[in-house]
Order: sequence, then C-alpha cells, then structure tokens
Amino acid sequence: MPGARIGVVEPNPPPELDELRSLVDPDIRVFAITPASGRILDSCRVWEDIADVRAPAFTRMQVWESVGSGYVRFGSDGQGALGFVAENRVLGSAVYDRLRALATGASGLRLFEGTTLKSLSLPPHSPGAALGSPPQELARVETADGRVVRARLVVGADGGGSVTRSLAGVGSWAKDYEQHGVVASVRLAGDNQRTAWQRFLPAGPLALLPLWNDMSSIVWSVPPAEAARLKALPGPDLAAEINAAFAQQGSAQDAAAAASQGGAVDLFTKGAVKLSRAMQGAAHTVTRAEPMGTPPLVTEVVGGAASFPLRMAGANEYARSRLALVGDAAHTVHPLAGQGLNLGLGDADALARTLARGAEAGRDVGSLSLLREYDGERRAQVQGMQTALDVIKAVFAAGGHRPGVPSAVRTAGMSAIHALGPLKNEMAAFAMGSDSSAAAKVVGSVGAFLSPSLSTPFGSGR
Amino acid sequence: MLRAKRVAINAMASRAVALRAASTSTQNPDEISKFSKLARLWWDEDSAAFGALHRMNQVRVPIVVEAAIAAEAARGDVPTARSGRTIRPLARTSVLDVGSGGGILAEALARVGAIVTGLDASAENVAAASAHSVIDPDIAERVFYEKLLVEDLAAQLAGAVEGSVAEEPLSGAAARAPAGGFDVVVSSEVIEHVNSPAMFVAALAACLRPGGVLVMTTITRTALSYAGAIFAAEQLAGLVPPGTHDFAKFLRPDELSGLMVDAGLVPALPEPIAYNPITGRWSRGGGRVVMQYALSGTKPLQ
Ligand SMILES: Cc1cc2nc3c(=O)[nH]c(=O)nc-3n(C[C@H](O)[C@H](O)[C@H](O)COP(=O)(O)OP(=O)(O)OC[C@H]3O[C@@H](n4cnc5c(N)ncnc54)[C@H](O)[C@@H]3O)c2cc1C
Repeated sequence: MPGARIGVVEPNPPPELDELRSLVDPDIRVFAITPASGRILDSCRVWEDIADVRAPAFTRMQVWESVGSGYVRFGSDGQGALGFVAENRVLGSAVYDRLRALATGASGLRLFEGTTLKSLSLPPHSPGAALGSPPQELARVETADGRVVRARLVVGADGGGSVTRSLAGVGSWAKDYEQHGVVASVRLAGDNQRTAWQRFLPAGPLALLPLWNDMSSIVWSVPPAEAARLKALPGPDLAAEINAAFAQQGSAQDAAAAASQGGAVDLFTKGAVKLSRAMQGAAHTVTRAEPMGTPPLVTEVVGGAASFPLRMAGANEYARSRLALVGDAAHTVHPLAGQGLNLGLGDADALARTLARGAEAGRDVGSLSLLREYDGERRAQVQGMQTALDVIKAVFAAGGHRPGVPSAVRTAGMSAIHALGPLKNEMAAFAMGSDSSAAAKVVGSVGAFLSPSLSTPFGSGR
Repeated sequence: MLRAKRVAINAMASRAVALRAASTSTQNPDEISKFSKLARLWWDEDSAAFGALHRMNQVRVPIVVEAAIAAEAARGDVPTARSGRTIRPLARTSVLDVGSGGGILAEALARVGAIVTGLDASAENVAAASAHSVIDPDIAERVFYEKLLVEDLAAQLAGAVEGSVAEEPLSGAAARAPAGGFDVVVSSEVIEHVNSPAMFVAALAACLRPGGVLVMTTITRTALSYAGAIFAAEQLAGLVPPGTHDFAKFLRPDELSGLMVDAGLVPALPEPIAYNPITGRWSRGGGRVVMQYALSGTKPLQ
C-alpha cells in the first residue's frame, strides 16, 4: 500500500542472498512452490532473485502407492512448470533483501532487527457483547528491547508457535499426527529428470523433490521412533532405505486386499485417463499422462538428516480488531501436499488485496469489518484444505487399505492433493465433471470433497 | 433573529428557510431518538446493524471520490492540485456530511484526505462521533462534528454571504465552511428518515459552492426494497434495527432526481448499489440484491 508506514520485527535477519550464491550443498529444508506462489513472489519483486540463484522448476510429477498399482504421472510440455523447488534459506534471504532495499528507500518501511515481540495490547474483544462502543484504539506493540509502537494493524506472521496469536488471546486447535517429517538432501545416480516423486508407503508418504543436476531433497513422513532411527543411520544406510522404500512391493497380504477390491486398478486407469483429458483441455502446462517411471537411485545423503514433528493446527480466528494472522501463525497442515508455505503466501496475498481494497475506500486497515473479509476469504479455504489433507492422510494412514476405500480413490485422491497448486482449476473441473462412469463417481467423490479448496486458493482472477 | 435577513441572496438557502418556516424543520423527533439509542453501537462492527454500514464504505467512498473529482475537473481546478494525490484523492477537499451519525462515512472520507464537517440532529451521535474521531491521529484533525440541522447551517451560510450585518461571528460548522460553500456535500442513507425531503435537498444544495457536487445514497421504493428493507433487513437478517425504515418515505431515483432539479442542481444518472446478503458485501452497478442507489447533482457555476 502506498503511503503506509510499516515496521517489521525480525529476530534473526538472514544473510544477504549474495552470500548464499557460493554455497554448493542445498539447504536441508526446501519447499515446493506452486506457480501461483511464484507469481505472488514475483509481484513482490523477489522471485527473479530466487530464480536467479536456484529455484529449479520441475516439469513432471509422479504419485504412486506401494500397495496396489495405482499411479498418476504427468508432465508439462516443456513450456512452463508444474512447480518450483526453493530452499528455505534462499527464499528467506531473497525476501529479506527486498525488505532491506525498501527500508533504505523512502518507502515508509522500518526494520526492527534482532528483537522480538514482547507485549501486545489490542482493543477489547467481546464477541456477542453488543453493549458499549468498542473504541478501535490503536494496537500497542512493545519489542523485547523496549521499543513501543502504536499501530492500526498488527500482522502475526511468526510461525506455528505464534507469540502474537497467544498474546492476542486467539484460541487455537491442534491435532498431532504422531509423525515426523524426515528431511535430507540427496545425490542421485543420474539427472533428477526434473521430476517430483511421491510414494504413499504404509507408514506415510515419501517425497523426492528435484533440485539441480543430480541433487534432490527428500521429505519422509514416519512415526517418531522411525524418524529417530532413520536420522541416526549413516548416510549410505539411509540412502539404501530410501531406495528400498521406492522399490518395495506391497506385501502378499496387501496384494490380496487390493485384489479383493475387484477392479480398483481398472477404475483407477479410467480415472487417470479422464484426469489427463481434463488437464489437456484446460491446463497451460500439463499436456499428457505418461507411463509410470522409476525414480533414480539415491547414491549419497549430503549432510545429515533432520526431522520435524507433523501436526495440523489452526487459529480459531484469523482476524480480530487490529490483528491479522498469516501463514503458520494461522494454520499448519500435513506436508504431504507441500502446501504449508504456499498457503502462507496465499494468506499474505489475500490480506494485501483486502487492505488495498479497503484503503482505496478510506476504510481503517485495522477495522474488524475489513479484516473479517480476509478472515472469511481465507479461513474457509484453508480449513477446507486442512480437512481434505487430514482425510487423505487418514486414508493412507499406516495399515494400508481400509474396508470400503478402493485403491483408485486413494490414488486419485493423492494425485488431486499433490496437484493442488498447478492444477487446481483443471482438477476442480475434473472433479466436478458429470461423467457418470464408475471411475468418475469414485474420483468425483474425493474431488468434490476437495473442491472448495481446489477451486480458488491462489490468486485465480489475478 | 430576523428571518427576513436570512432570505434572499442565496436562492437555495432562501428556499430552504422558506420551507423551514412551513414545516418547522426536516427533523423528525421520533427518528432522532431512534438513533440516539443506537449511538453507542455505531462503532460496534460486530453488530449486524452497523457492520453493514461499515462495509458500505467500500462502495460509497469511491462514489463520493469520483463525483468530487469529476466536479473538480468540470470547474477546471484540476491538474496541479490533483497530481500525486493517489493515496489521498480528496486532499484539500471540503466535505459536509449531513446525517453523519457515528462518523462511519465521515472518518472514511477524512482518511482519503477530505476535511470533513459532520452534522447530525442527535447530540448523542455527535458525541459518539467526536469521541471516536480522536482515536486515529491520521484523521483526528480532519473531522469535526456538530449537532445542527442542515437548514440551519444553510441559513447561517446565507447570512454570511449576505455579510455586512452578521448577527454574530460564525462558529462551528459554519465557520469551517469555505467561503462560498462546501466542495462536496454528502448525505448517505439519511433522506429516507427526514420529514420534508424537498426542503432537505434544498438545504443540502444551499451548502454547496458553485460547481460543487451533492452525493446522496438512499434506499429506493420498489417491491424488492419493501420486502428487502422492511422485512428481510429488519426482521430476518437484523441488518438494521426494527423501526429504522418507513417504506412510505423511500424515494425512487426519479423522484430524488426531481428534488435535485428543484433545488437548482444538475443531477447525474443514478447508480445502483447492490448488497449480497450471503457475503455481506456491497457492490456498485447491480448485483444480487439492489435496493440502494447513489445519485449526485452538481451545482451550476453560475
Ligand atoms: C517437514 C516439512 C516439510 C515441509 N515442506 C513444505 C513444502 O514442500 N512446501 C511448502 O509450501 N511448505 C512446506 N512446509 C511448511 C512450511 O515450512 C511452513 O508452512 C512455512 O515455513 C511457514 O512460514 P511462516 O513464515 O508462516 O512461519 P515460519 O517459517 O515458522 O517463520 C516464523 C518467523 O517468525 C519469527 N518469530 C517467531 N517468534 C517471534 C517473535 N516473538 N517476534 C518476532 N518474530 C518472531 C521467526 O524467527 C521466524 O522467522 C513443510 C514443513 C515441514 C515441517
């Protein structure tokens, strides 16, 4: 917003992007960035810098399961990408470089570095209490080093353990998945083929995201004890486990279960064909379904492995008078769809659009009536996504097949989830399709469930 | 107080005063007390009644801004003053907000740069608006409210124009009026509550400078607005408190246009304003449910 004065509190300013250019090994923590998120970053004029250093595009995606033979694989036709893989520290430095540049210009931006939010007072919040006139007092923000700022709006973007959220007294809910995401950088036996791979294993999904040349990054969701075991393995042993997990066939028991579901694979294939047709019809990038492939072998784990506990959580409100929550401060999701950061960027974009729209009409950017528009737009979408991811997670949960859930549903579901970003509209169109074939119905029941979050999460209509 | 003194020079003011003589005033005591009870709720954005008014700024502020800029352009005082005013398009524009209530519209207009004088017939409303206006330092110095009827302000201004024998120095709203009148007069969702709409519009027009623009929004009188405003809004959605609206007082766009012509203004075409009861959002130019409209009228330069 032109004319706005903005203060940014940042406890740990990242190094300048230039300092990262010489680093050879990738950051252990990477994000799959959807094209929509790429556009948002581009609109903030940071994407060029990221792409310039290293944010390789992937042009192919394969999602498959370890029990049954369902898979989805598709590629772009060379023009455009299905998504990008960006390292956490590169993204952080690129964004922060932009803030530094803005802070030295006449932009009204001020950085409060090396300190944290210590206290926050907001106008009284009394839902349902109609009496009295809530006086929209300006928020009062105090940093740990004793600086006091009065603000029309405080944006809490301080992550899953948001201090802003708790100081504001905004309630939240959480569900622990009792899983950890094990992450590591790996070197492959050959080129990474610019392909993102994700396989649903009985214990949880294993994803291989392509970086540059023969480098890729893994995210492997497993029970905490298993995560501890994997992290403790010597590199070559971990590499062997990853290769085994990608190669492993379902057990005889699993195969029997799959067979007993009769025709699931056939249904899946019909669904996949329809999927690819739908994608061909509408997508700008995705053009064809392809035969299933095998990921390249992992030859080396570069650096160590780390792990993060996985949980789904959400703030009960994303907005209060003079407060907005964005990113993990508002919500966290299971990483199986690689959506956490993308959702946060979607929040930031939605909030920015809401504030710009309001400012144009002379509305107080911290007013509840305006911020509710952000809350209303985002919370429904994110919660829809959270529910969908939770269901998908449950469907694929340890133990493999569940009675009454055909393999095709699970596979189509996971492909839909995984394709959320680049394919959202196409997937939604597909899911809403009126084909009365069994496959369409099966897939449609998952897709329709997903579609509220499929149809609009990121800047469609931009 | 010599009534005769007020009459004359400003034709519109004299008309307002004459009308006032006939019907005492445009104010309706029942209506005023209705709103006094609500004064403390003006800024409760959680309330269905006022949340809708807060959100309505999304459409009515741009309508006022556009009308003001168009009038400015027509007067020929555009370019230098206007350039670089994207954040505060109404900078240096004087606005009279008649029926300013708790200041919901007045503050928004001040935020886009206007110097706003709000008039309201209820002392409680003026108190609520004044108390709220000091919260944000950005607008505190640009808004001022007074309990005053517009026809009285028109009369004071007429007296000032007449000049030489002023009874007393101008104060309050009259003192804030630029010589010749306000650049912009707005009255949003008010005329449906007044006793004599003709006199009211005449008084609004009288407060305008030549070349200034009057912008009004109100609820129209159609089967839909009857069902919508009276039934849906009051009974179902709780959009406005029961008793807020009296259907017989609603004016259709052509009727309001006629009143503007009678008041010596040149009316523009009415613009429909739609409300979406599901999203609670307002939009311009038609949409889900159209009950409101905006109408502006320009005062000729000569
Ligand atoms: C294993 C794993 C894999 C993932 N993979 C992906 C993926 O592929 N794609 C994807 O999109 N997402 C992914 N995510 C999710 C992603 O990491 C998060 O959604 C994202 O980092 C959230 O960003 P954020 O800015 O909201 O919060 P954070 O990244 O947590 O940043 C919070 C910031 O706030 C600062 N802060 C904290 N407290 C204070 C205070 N009191 N005052 C001031 N500042 C404070 C911190 O220093 C930090 O800089 C993954 C997550 C996990 C666990």
